[in-house]
Amino acid sequence: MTVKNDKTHWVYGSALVLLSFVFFQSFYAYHLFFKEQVQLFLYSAEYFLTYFDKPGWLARFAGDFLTQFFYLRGGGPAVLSALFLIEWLLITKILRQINHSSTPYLWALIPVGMDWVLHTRLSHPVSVSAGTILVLLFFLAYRCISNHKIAFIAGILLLFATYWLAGSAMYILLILLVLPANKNHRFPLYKQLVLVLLASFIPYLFYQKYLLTLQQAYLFPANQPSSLLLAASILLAVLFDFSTKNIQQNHYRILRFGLPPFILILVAFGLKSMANFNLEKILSLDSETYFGHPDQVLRLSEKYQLNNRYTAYYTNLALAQSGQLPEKLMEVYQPASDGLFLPVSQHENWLTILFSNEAFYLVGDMNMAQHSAMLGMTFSPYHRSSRMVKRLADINLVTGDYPAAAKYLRMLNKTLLHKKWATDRLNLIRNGESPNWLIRKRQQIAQTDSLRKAYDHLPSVQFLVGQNPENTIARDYLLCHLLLNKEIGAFRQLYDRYARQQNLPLPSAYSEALLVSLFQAGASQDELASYNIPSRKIREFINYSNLYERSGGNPEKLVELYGKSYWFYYHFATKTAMEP
Amino acid sequence: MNRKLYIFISILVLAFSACRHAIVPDTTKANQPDLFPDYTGVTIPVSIAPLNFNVNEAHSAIHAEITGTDQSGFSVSGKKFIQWPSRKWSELLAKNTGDSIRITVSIKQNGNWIQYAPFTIYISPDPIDYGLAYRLVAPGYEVYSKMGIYQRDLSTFQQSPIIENTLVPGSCVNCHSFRLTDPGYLNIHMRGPKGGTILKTGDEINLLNTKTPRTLSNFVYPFWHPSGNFLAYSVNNIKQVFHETKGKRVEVVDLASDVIVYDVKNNLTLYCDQLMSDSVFETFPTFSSDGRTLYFCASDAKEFPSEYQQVRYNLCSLAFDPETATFGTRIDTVFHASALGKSVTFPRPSPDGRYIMFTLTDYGNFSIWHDEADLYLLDVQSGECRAMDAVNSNRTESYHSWSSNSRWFVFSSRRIDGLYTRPFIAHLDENGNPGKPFLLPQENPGHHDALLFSYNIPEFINQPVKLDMHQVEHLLHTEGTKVEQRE
Repeated sequence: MTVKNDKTHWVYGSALVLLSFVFFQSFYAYHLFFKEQVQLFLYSAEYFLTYFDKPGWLARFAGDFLTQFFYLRGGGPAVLSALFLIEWLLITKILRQINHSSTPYLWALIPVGMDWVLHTRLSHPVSVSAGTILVLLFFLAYRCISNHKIAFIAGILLLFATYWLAGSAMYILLILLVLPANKNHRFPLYKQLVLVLLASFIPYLFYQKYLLTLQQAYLFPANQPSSLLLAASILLAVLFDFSTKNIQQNHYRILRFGLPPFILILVAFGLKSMANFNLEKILSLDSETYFGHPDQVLRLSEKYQLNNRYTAYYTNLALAQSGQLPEKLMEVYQPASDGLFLPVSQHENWLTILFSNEAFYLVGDMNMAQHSAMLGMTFSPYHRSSRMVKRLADINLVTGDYPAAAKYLRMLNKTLLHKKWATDRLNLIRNGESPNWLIRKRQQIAQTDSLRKAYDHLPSVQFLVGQNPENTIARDYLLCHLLLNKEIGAFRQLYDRYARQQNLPLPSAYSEALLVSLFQAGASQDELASYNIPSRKIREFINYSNLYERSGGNPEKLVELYGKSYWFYYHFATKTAMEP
Repeated sequence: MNRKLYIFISILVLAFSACRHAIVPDTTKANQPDLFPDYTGVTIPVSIAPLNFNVNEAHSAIHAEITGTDQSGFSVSGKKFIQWPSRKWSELLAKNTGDSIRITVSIKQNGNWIQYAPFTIYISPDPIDYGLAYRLVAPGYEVYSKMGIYQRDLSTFQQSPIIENTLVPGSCVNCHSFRLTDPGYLNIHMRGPKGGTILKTGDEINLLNTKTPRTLSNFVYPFWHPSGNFLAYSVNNIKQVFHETKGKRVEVVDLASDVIVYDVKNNLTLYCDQLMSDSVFETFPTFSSDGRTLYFCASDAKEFPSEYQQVRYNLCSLAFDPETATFGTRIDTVFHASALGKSVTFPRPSPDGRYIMFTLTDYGNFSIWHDEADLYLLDVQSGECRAMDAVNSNRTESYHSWSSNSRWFVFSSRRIDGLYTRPFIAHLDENGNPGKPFLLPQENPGHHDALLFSYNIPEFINQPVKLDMHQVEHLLHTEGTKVEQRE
């Protein structure tokens, strides 16, 4: 069997692609969901024309087109796997053409593996892969030119065209044009220098026309310099393939069986160093919140046991949605009140701003939810977000601002995968219908006015509760906010005002906090009895107090029995600097 | 690039919409069509780009026939909306200048053509300036993100950026201002780590560091003196807060504000004690067309937040002598809005000196989030002031500016969706009567619907803005010129 006739080489590419699919589907799905959520691909000519404002328009258009399918379960992994397969095939073909080597399909695994690793970053867009594929196709077409003079001129023109169509993927073309491996089209040194200088100069030439910084112009459509590693990996593949031709002839079997595992190890190392599994967990909580699965959020949160404000934020949201916030408040990590609301501030990263609207929307603070969603969208990398547009549409449906809601819904109506969602809501407007969810949300809105600063969460929630004491989610957020900031006096005052007379079963955190407050105030037995605190809880409090005194306030003696009580939190929780 | 693309796509669209025969309607309706944008009965300048539109009713095809007074004209068909061929549009408008054109629209529903009653568009002989400059910004501005200042040729659909904050990430570009529509004299603020005020005077560009020991802040709301030698600015301590109830969203208030004048040639800040009173909020300064009067808005200082709804600005004036760069001594109240329980913002004198147009709102100075904000016109000679009912809506009408011949004005309005401001242009005849305004035309009438940015501070420009970006970028990496104070 000759090397050329060896059809088993498909196994290598297919295996890597299959592994990447399994990785993204099983271990990294939420990054891909999220990438779709911070994109909005519209089927309209107007939208299409916006791509011409920046370099690499075709790569960005193709990338965004493909990213829309990340909305579907399995869609992201399938799209990426398909792209990796195409990259592998094209690079194999190019290496075979320029090097006439026997194992191009092995070396082609390097860039594919690199692209896989890079796609674990939120900042690495699909447009980079799309641009790479475009450039590889251009190069294959370019190889049809046999005349050297024409090839040189075509190379120059192609560099410009590639920057226009594929942005920074132009460097891949440059690599393929000037590499010594490119025997049939090897240019003299001065011509190679001309091409290198030109490619270096093109982004500089256009950066002001495109209103980009110099760095952006050299990277576009990539957001981070790390995306250029894909071009670098293609360079490596070409060089390795070229420089190991003898080894390929003499040690074909060693290469064939030794190189793929080595590349796999490199990929694994790359994944370990570049993939952010912690963020994947946070994004899973975020996306399941977006998909409307609070039970799944609670399940995942319990599984992860992460101690950060984002996990606390989404867990609290899910607990509040299921009415369990005051009952289970102390069962999860709480970074004071930072896990209830996320700040909308220029000092925060764009993810925090984008996440922040969920809590405002949940408690019924629609103006702040709108502000947060708008900023979340404009701060996201591409300034458009299908998820934020959906949220803005819902906010305006709730507030009855139908023209604004319809604007967002009409936009979503021009998408492929959010169209049905939009149509259903447009029908609500047309038919004047108010389903139960809309009625419930509308009941949360304040009927009288007050002013609030962007960061004044507490007065705002208090105002909402004052307007509508039946807004139990806002009430729980208010009371838990006070508890987590150890404002026991204010908690009891507001509990008395908004919750005490409702004769509901007393949740754990509230009963524990009330006992602290009543004890501090030296309340009478009658007063204690009037709160209907379960006698079991009173006994636990007495036991805790005794143990606290006996141990001299040693948390280690208390943590086992009372580590998840409010008493323990009240005594020992301290707030450190804000987490990243 | 974009222009060529537009032309290419237009040719394609025209080629595919070749079905330009008169249709025979199956049904005729007595009412005029419900268009978006509503171009029925508007007054337009002869040089305006085609008023492409859609009909707000479901249809499988749309047809429109346009005729001049001599019955010459043409018709266009489309699947989704009407897109007039630019050359024929321009020719027809030129032939009917000072007169009107008539448009008959038909739509196809369930295989039947329904024809509406024709409507008229008036073509004013008054020319309009070359274009508009505006900022496109998401309607939430407490922190900076993607935004830019753009210019638009009014005779075509071409929009090009003047500056975007992608050039300096983390910055905010705002408050572009031109001297009487002349982009040779340009003010743009860039806020952020590499901020400053970009000032273009003819061929010279400078970056100003405008914070002085005596002023509350960097220079904020600008207005050019007609000579180009001075700029009036407010300096403000601004706070943004949010409403809790629906119907109102954002409130932007001044905790303190003053007015100063900047002497461009001598790099001097000119102070006047009467414009810097602690007990008065002074803001939105403008010069009269002869440059001898400084108008501004003034309110008694009030406590925030308890009295924010009692902050009501009157339109005031103070004499200014450009030869000696000195102020008068007496402040006059030109329009006593607070006596009416109202508040004046954005006073803009017409270049011919006859009128001052301003926004009247219930309270405060940041009318762009006030649904009740409407445009008013003050006749400087007679003192008569009236609401511009023909251009106002039940949503916000706010920022406005005049064309160089005082016959057109552009204003921002939230009338379409209540959330995003859009620029409307209206004609003002020699008697001060406004025509029905029209929305800035777009090649695709769905453009505004798909845009997630507001048009902010629309200003006429009499020629394209030319800003040397190399120079601007270089300047933004310097400390800038520190403005001096006149002792």
